[in-house]
Amino acid sequence: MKARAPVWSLLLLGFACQPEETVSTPPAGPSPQVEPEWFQSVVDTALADLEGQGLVTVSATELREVLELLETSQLPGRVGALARRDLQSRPPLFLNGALMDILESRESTTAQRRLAYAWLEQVGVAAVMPRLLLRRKYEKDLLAYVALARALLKLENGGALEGLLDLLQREEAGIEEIRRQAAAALALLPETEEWQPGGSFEQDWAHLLACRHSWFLQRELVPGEGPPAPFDSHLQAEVWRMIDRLNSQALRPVDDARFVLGSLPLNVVGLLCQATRERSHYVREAVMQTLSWRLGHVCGRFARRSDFQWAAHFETMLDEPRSRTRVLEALGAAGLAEAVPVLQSWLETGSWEEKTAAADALLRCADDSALSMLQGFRQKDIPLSAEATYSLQLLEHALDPNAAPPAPPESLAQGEKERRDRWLFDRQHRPGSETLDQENMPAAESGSKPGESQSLR
Amino acid sequence: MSEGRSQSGMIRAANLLALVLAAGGISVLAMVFKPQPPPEAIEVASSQQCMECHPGVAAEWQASHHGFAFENPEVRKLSQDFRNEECLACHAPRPVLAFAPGERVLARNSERKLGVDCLACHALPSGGVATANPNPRKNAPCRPQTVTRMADVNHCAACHNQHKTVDQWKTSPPELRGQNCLHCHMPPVFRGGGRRGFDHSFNASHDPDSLRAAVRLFGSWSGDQVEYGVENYGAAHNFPTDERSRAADMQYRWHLVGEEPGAWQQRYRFRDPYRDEVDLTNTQLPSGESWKETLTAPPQAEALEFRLLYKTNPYMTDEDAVVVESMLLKP
Repeated sequence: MKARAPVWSLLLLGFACQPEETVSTPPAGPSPQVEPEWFQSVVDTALADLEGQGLVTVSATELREVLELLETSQLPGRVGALARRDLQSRPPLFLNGALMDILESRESTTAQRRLAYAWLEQVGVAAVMPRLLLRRKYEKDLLAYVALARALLKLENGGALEGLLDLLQREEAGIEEIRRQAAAALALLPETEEWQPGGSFEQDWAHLLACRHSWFLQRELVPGEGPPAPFDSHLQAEVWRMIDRLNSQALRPVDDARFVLGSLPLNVVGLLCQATRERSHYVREAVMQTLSWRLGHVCGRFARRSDFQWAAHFETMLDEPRSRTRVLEALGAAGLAEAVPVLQSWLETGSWEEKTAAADALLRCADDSALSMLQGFRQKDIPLSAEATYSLQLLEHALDPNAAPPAPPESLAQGEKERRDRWLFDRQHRPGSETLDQENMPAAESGSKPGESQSLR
Repeated sequence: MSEGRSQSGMIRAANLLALVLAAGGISVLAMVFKPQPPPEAIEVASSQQCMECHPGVAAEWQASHHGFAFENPEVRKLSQDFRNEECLACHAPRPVLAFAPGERVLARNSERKLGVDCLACHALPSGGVATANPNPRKNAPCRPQTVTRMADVNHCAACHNQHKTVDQWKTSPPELRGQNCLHCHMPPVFRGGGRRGFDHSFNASHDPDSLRAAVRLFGSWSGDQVEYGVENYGAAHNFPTDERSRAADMQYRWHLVGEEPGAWQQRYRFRDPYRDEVDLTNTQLPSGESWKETLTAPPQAEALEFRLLYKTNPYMTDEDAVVVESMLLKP
């Protein structure tokens, strides 16, 4: 008995000093997500449906043959004429594929590339557009760039208009021939009642600005009405191949694809909206980045013209937490005020990140009717990030000039302030609010200036 | 018998008293030693909250290139102020643990100014906080949980394999490799109060000592033949690695009798070029390998001086570069 008391004491003491919480098993990583029913293998399905469509894959032997014909086609007389006839007799999708292979090869010379672009101006088909648009990023020879711009204009694509404009405005010596050829390329702009080629440079310049304005707003060189022109199956196949690159773990192919997808004609928005249902969250993320970062208000115009229910489409995707901030961003980027009620609810009840995304989105899409909501929200004193606070300040001031002027929180990074200032400026491009001065367009997107070095990008 | 019974009763009473005393003592001891109820658990929404309780770690991180990732003027220039949105994913990432091991991370929307912040590495998708520490203080307000994946190379690969650094590590000589990235880039440290932790300065190429721990120069002079070179003896990945803008230049100059040393001659550049630099190839120095060449000494040569410069971008002048090492070779 004497010996047992201390043992009890120790046991009791040990028991009494047990921590109140038990140790939990360490988690191995993220808990598995339940897949929403709208997750689908959209990209694989589209690629399977379009198998055999698009540019033809060319063998090395065929490529050498096309290259020889291309160079022979420059010769004078009968030999050159025969080579040209031979090239023209090739199936367009084969020839376009071969010419793109030449342009993308590290071994091709500048002269070969200039020639290949010139041939694409003659024989280019719509399906070549995605790969041709990517060349804007990597083509460093300025004359070749002009030839590339001509080939795109022939396909009614304005993706190189910024580049032409940049070349025409350059004042450095030694590029007179480049500027002359850039000016000559304006003859390929689409004719309208007000403009036909062959007039003065001033008239060409004014038409260039008008086409650029139209391209900026709706990815059409001349403003159209009604549903946008559909893509043929070959172009669709090439677009889906580009979308497939968004799944890449390396970021460069993702950036390349975003760069291309943002410069395709208006109907690309419809394909991208289909891809927002893709199971891979990398594809979903980059697709929504393309919609929000590169197309923005163009999406709003697509929705208006196609009777596409933008807010309803994205609202159903908000149940998936990993994509939620991007969905909120895409909701706002189109500039359609119909998204305001959804954004308001996430502004009030979302996480820190979600509130930020919702506030930023509101800045991009809310109209006057959101003012009372904003004022009411401010009274609730709900904590927000510096980014969200500044976005709402900008919005309230834009809707009510009597509101307190925006005062960026100290913790807001300068670049983040400027990003939101840009969104404020971009509010004038929202569908139905076009007051944009053609001479005062926003800065060109990165990679759109000819000869821009990738090593500085 | 009755005396015995009386003795037995006294013993029983004494035992009872001892038991009562023991129980009382236990109660007192239990009150003294019993852990206080843990502080209320907090919901960690921002890295700013982490810094309040971990000032030592925060100070290391703030001085690091993770802390500087979004504000770094060189990055801002190279990314055109992040108009190249692809750069955002790794310079202001969402929590890595929200993605499968080794998969790349995606950009976040708020507090980008904090760059690669605490949450980027430590936040759990459930909202909790992860640590590599096998015995964390589970009652801390952030309720840390051990996640072994935090010490795995795939944790770093989410960003640092964009330019194949982790792939390079996987094929590097085993004797250089260590167990993971932490081996070289987050060595153990003792902070205030003697608490052991891992260095959150993330020393790498911006730290001259780390550069010198990665590469060293060598050379020899025989007759009129001078051999010189550089060995990647300490980095378990290529040198330089990661960012394609990084470059290391090998330069030399002769010292001739009776003359001042001549100008530095650019001899070799170690660098992985951008994709559009079609005239260049990848010249990074793989782990454990050497680059060397032999020169014929001019008759008046009394020494060969050579040096290795490290540049954080390929346009950096020699004057702005870090001299990793220089060597003076004599016959």
